Amino acid sequence: MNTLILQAALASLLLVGQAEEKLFVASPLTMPQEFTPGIEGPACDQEGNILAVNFAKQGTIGRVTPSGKGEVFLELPGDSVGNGIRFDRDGFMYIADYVRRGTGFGCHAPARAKAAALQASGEASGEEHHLPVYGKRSKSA
Amino acid sequence: MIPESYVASRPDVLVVNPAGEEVGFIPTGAADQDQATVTGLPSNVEFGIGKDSHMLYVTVDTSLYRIRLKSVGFRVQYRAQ
Repeated sequence: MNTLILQAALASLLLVGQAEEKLFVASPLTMPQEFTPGIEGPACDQEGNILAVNFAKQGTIGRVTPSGKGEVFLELPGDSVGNGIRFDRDGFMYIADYVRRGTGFGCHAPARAKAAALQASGEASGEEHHLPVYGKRSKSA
Repeated sequence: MIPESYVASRPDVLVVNPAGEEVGFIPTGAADQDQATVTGLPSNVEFGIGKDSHMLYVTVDTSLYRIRLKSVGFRVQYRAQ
């Protein structure tokens, strides 16, 4: 009996959480100030998470789940600040550098997510945090 | 053509057909704000994926917003080769 009540309560909670937004109405998914005013470049990974630049502080790439939970996915090296983000079909994420024009970064997003998960569970050192980011200068701007 | 002043007077996502005609707009901030302190201006958009393909994500001020649409996004990078 108690189990049934609990299940009903859980089901109603889930329904509230999944209430669909009104059609054609813009509604916030993250809290104000979670990103800096430099938020830019939203791009979806293959799991449906949204990546955008400047989560919490300039120079980061934030990852937000479809339910609105955000975190710093990676920090760009040096004083670089991201602008646009695109994904290719292999899961590589490409980030344009707003500070050094003509420069960009590539990061294999699934590998980065795996490294972060291992790090969070204590199975890997923090060294891997910065590993999967590659910078390359294209034609000078 | 849509005049720049017209667009700036109402922060929004504008829907334009291939002929350049406005077919819809979705406000992201209050209309007729002081241009020096305007809030709600979107910077970029991206469609969701999978079950969220009909969601349009928008970067606005210091947040990520989204808009539920009837249409779904098109992703050239995931097309079969």
